[in-house]
Amino acid sequence: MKNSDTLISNQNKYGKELPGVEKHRAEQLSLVSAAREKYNAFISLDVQELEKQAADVPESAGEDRNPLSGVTAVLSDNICSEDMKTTCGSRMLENYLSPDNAYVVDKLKDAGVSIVGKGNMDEFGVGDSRGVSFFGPSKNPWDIERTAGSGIAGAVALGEAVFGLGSDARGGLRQAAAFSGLAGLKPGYGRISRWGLIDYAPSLDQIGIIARSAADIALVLECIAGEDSRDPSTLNNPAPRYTETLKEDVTGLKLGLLKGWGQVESLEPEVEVLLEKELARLKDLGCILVEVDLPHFFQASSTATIIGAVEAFSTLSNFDGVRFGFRIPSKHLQEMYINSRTEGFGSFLKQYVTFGALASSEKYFNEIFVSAQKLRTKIKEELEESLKTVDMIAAPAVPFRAPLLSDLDSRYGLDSSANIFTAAANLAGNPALTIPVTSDDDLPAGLQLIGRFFDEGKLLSVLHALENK
Amino acid sequence: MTVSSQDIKEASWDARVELSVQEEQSLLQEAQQLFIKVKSFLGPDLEEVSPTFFPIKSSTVLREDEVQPSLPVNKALANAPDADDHCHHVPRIIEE
Repeated sequence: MKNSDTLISNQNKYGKELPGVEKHRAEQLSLVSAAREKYNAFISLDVQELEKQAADVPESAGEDRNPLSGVTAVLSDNICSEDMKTTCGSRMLENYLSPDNAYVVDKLKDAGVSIVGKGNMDEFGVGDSRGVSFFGPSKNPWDIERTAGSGIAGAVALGEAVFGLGSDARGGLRQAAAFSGLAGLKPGYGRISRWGLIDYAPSLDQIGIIARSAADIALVLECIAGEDSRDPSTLNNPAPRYTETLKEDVTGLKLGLLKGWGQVESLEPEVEVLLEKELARLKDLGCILVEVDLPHFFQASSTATIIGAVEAFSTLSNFDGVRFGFRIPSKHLQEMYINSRTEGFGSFLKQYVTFGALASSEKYFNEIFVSAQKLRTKIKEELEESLKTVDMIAAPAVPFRAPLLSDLDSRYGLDSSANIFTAAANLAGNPALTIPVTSDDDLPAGLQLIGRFFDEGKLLSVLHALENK
Repeated sequence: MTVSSQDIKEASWDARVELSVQEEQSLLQEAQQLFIKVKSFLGPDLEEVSPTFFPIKSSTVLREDEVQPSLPVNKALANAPDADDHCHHVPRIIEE
């Protein structure tokens, strides 16, 4: 199947249901259940929604029908929904049922999207693309011994949902897309409301979209982008018709290729080979590739680790055994806080919030935390200056392919090399897109494009052109 | 710059979590390495640079003060591990 041959794309292209859609729905329940059991892609399933999907014969498509109507989606389990638990992949929220839907959930439901389940995720999103939660690892459909990076990536790669929404604080969503042979967009900061997202790093986190094709992402982005009065960080800049801008000619687009990307220590030779081929395809499309020198770019991962941890130390402080589900009873208040958080949080998360407390302590505040925010200024300025001379910046999404589950502890730590190419876009707030790069007989990798603010459409037009080449 | 065991212990108290000896040692090592790495990034060009705490310029978040429906008490308490009709129950701070 070509990347662009997906349910949404086909519905959009032909304006009617295609043969196979009904069958797809009838099989949905059993397939999704299998995805949960075998690949651990889902934490919760909406069985009612799945049964409805299986029973309903879809109405014939009319001109007024929303192209997303009846399309299946999976949400990362830190996006609040009233009808399924929102666990954030943590024992702390194992049975948490949100009183409200997130902004994006209401928008999807209004469009008729069928949300079939909540995807497995790193605990509270901290963990980059390990894909490991209190409920176990998300296994990769390309190789079950490897991580999918996240449950939503696994579910979409398996075809159990047409698209997935998740969060991206240091690049986890884009890395999971690369691991699973999918496209993944982190929109620019303020493009999508985060109201109802349980994020750990508010200045870095954005809700992103994982799907098989540019057309699918464009349709979903059109539906959920825009200003929301409940999230003051959303920007008053109406979202364009991405499904139209998608078709824009990419000939003559100037792509700045990150200088030194091939010298990164953790870069796998297989990733380098795959990316060189994809860069050649971009040249064939008429894109102009020039090298850009961004020395501060490579400092972004460490910088974002410090900022993310300090923010997590603060944002996750309300999970203390008082307001939300998990509590270890105690006779003393402080003891209850400590015991509840110690038992409720996983080992890595405990270390991460402790590191956040350390980096923002009186001893290290100026020397480490404020210095990191100054580095952020330099990284952001450097990207902005560069994007005045090129249309977008090209680099790998992640230096390696999906790691083996048994290697995760050695691959990931506080400052994971997984984030070396992705964290800069979070620090600066720019939109960034993973373009899947697949090979016939091996695991996929991802090429990343970083664009100017509000240029999500241009990034998607490049992916669209590659899909149709 | 040396991160000490005491620094980690104090930070874990601030974060209200208890780390095992192994977790403490692992974090101490990683924090030390990361701090050294970040220090190596700092040069004289950063001295006059202003920190960026937010990726966009945020405008005022103040709006007209209008009464809006708030979360009903029963919903606000629905996920609490211990509550009555109106309050969360927590252990005493001062012992009897």
